[in-house]
Amino acid sequence: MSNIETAAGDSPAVSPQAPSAEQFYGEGEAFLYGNGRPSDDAQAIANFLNASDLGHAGGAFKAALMYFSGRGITRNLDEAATLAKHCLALGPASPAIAQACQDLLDGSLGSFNAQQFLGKDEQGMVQMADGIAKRQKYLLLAAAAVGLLVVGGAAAWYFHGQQQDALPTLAAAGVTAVVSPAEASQARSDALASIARLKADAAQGQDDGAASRAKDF
Amino acid sequence: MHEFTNKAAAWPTRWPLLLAVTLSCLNSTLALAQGAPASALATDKVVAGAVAAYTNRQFQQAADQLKAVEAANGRAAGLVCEMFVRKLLPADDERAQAACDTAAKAHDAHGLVWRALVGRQGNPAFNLPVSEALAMGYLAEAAELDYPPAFGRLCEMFFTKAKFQQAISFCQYSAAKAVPEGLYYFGLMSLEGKGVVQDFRKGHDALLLSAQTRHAPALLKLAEMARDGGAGQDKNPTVAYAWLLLASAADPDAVAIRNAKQSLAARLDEQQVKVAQKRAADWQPALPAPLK
Repeated sequence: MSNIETAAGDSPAVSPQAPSAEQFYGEGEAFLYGNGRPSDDAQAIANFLNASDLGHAGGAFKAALMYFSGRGITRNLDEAATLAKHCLALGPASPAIAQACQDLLDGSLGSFNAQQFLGKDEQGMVQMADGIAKRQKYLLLAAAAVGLLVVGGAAAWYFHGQQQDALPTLAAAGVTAVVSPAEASQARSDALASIARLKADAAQGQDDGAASRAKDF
Repeated sequence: MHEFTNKAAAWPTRWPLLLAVTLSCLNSTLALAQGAPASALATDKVVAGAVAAYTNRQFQQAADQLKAVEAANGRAAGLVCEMFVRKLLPADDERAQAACDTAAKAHDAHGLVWRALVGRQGNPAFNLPVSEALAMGYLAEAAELDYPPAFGRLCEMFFTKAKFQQAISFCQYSAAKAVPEGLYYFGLMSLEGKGVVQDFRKGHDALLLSAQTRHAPALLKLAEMARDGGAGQDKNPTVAYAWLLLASAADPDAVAIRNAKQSLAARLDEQQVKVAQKRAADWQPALPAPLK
């Protein structure tokens, strides 16, 4: 090997045989699931981080999940969030994985789902993420329906309350008169007859009121 | 200070104005047709002017205008009598007594009713003993002149004496003529089945009609019905408080209303009080309020 070749061989440049991002990711999965070697979470995350550094969104996501779950490394939510952001910046192949990265970033993914994701290969993750997205969609729809019911119920209760607390009006009660013209006419006759009787009683000295009245004039 | 003003007398009706205007117009027309002397026409003109001032709540101005004619004109004397009884004018016992007596002797229906109210309450300054019987005599005369408020007052008198069978015809007729007292007592009798077949709906409707004239006792009764429930009404403290606010505005001096209002307010939360205040502020009587 010439000096020049030696010099070139000592240089830190990446050799053509250096593993690709995909290879690092595959190694990471092999260590994570113990495929053809003993399971080793620490090695798994090291490989996922390498894949992430080389621009592999899935690697970034898996590394983020491991930080989030504290699997193979000390739990670190900040680091998990940074990796989830990196995952989004890299643009995951599947919109479902992108959504999962976003969920992890905003804290809505949950530990259970994180563990489930870690137990699946890339295809499985996509299916699972789709499932989660669907469930979230249904949950959102259900929440919207419940919200509408609550708002509708509250509005109905409010308007019912408004109606209940309203002062009754003549128009609402359909009231025009409480005595018919015929009854009024009869009542007037009876009242005047009653007055006539009072006067007659007074004339016979049975009622001092009418007598007083008579004296007054 | 007058002693004879009573609470019942403080509940005006719009009959004085209607009657005064009608009589003034009739008098003027008849006087012209019969070639009446100019002085009669002048008197009617004065009375009409005073009624207008009264309508605009310019009571002193109305009294000043009537001073020259009230000794010889029953209608004028009746108006003056009413204004003294209702304390719309500064106390002048001599003038008040003269006006009330003149109105009664002139057989002015309106004056007879107010003279009856004075007699019913009695008045030491007038040297008048309390005499319900005398008051009844004046009211009977006014009723024979077909003056509906007189029927309303007779209804009230018989009702308070628990003579319901006698009261009912007076109450029914005055209720038909939209006299606030008549509607109120007819409402009570219908609710309680006194002198008439018990009818909650009719009783409540009569009270509602009476309340349209801001008749404080009717407003109080509606409040009690909403507060306590029963008699075909649901319990609703918010509505009850709104009625009490209206009753209190109609008669700020009424102790029963003030006590009921304070007692109910203590049981309501802030939101209920606010709603009641809004309901009371938004309430519009279907009939014009009576003259004050």
